[in-house]
Amino acid sequence: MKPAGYCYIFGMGMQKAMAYRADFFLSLASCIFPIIMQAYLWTALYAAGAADTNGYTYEQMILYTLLAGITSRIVATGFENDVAQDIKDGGLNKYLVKPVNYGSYCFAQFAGSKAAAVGFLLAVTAAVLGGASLLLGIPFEPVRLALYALSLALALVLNFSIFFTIALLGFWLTEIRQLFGTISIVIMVISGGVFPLDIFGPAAAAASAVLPFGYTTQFCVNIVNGQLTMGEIGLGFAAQLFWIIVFTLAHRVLWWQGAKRYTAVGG
Amino acid sequence: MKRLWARVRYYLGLLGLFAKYSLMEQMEYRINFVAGIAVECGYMLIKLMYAVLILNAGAEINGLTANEMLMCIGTYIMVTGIYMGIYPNFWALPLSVRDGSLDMLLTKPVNSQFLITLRKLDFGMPIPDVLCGLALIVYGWQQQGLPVTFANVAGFVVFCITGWFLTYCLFLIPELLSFWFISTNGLQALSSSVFDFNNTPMNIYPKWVQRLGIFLLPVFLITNFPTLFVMGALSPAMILWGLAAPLLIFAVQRFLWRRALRRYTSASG
Repeated sequence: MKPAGYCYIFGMGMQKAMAYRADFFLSLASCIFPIIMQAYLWTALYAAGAADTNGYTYEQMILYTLLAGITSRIVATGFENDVAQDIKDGGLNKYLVKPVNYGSYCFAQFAGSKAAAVGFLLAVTAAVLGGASLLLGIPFEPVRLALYALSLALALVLNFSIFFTIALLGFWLTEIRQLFGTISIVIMVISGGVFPLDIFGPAAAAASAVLPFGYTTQFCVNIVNGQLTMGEIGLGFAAQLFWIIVFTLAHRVLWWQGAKRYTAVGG
Repeated sequence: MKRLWARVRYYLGLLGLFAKYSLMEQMEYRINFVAGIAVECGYMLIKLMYAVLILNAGAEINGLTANEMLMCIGTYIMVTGIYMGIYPNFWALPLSVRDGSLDMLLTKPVNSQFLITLRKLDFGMPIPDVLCGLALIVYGWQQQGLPVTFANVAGFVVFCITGWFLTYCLFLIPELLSFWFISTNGLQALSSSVFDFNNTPMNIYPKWVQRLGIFLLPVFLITNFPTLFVMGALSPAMILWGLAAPLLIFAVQRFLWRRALRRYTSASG
């Protein structure tokens, strides 16, 4: 398919996401409450002098809380259920007989469905950073903000690759949709979407550095709050690219193997 | 009185039948049963992270020790788990409003709310939450050295039951909006995130947030009042409010239920 075709799919994804606008904005607004709750928790813990955070200052932790909630919402997926449903119910048939790459189709639709939310959340992020600069007195380097934006783009691609790979396991596991809930929550936790993992000790810190998940949220946020040096940021970008390549290869292999055993039930 | 007792027995019998058929269905689809447990373990992981943070800190915050806060978090995990036992009905309600499959349920000669909200019981999802919640409560209670008297245990159980009942009413209200709006996913996400304020005890919030969560939208009653009762930190007025609030919210919810059913048009039925 020509690039114009994927642009059309991108537009369709955007329209689908915006079909119920009140619903769309309420969903986005729901990320505010956990952020408020965690901000109060950290404020209480730091005030009691009891926060064991492995080097995060109060300002860094509050900024982490604010940005992690938004960042994890920006990179969140949700298309994996549709992919598994297509495989299970035979809906994949209509893509197999058309000159379209299913992975590219899903990515175009995913990017379209995220576009409006990302635009809105980036505006919120800018407001949060402005507020943090004024209220907490945190100076933001423009270079770090630019690197944060770049890391977010790569994080979106990485998270898509991870979840597309998992969704393709539906060729072998017919009931995988039941497990998506667990997988999404566990990945959100180990990506640092709730708390930075390195506050839970050296083992958790090592795991977040080695596994791909931390590079979808924790890495991006730690660029802005100054927790990472420029050298560590460079390594982080290398890790993001490495994991994107690994998962792209993985989902290509899975697609190739899975399509061979696909039996096109229903349709 | 005799008629009332007969009705209670009738509905308890029905609940028993719902439980029997739900269990039979779940044993037929065992993978779903296991998957339900796995999903709930994922959510429990997040709640446990808060418990680990507070336990690591080990400090007294605004009058509550780490062990007492553990009891609050444990209560939250346990009450959420028991609510998850009836969650499939809440999840299915907007769908059945949209596709008109509510028709069949409305024609049955039983209370419609009882049938629609309690007919499917999940036995898998509550298991990890109830076990983990109980473990946290017992650990916190024991470490804090709170007296294990009949009054304390009975009060704790009563406030847990009223907490569960409040959860039932407060979560049903957003679902009822599906009678007015086509998509209510956003509202459900919003109400869940408000409920998640219980991930931490209410004492970490400023007084105005606590008052909102106790009197206006009484979510803090659900998980804080059982522990506060055992600590002897609830005034008689607060105990009375803790028992009256669920009834008030239930009255509001019943009013909305009747209004919602009047709007039902049986589309695509």
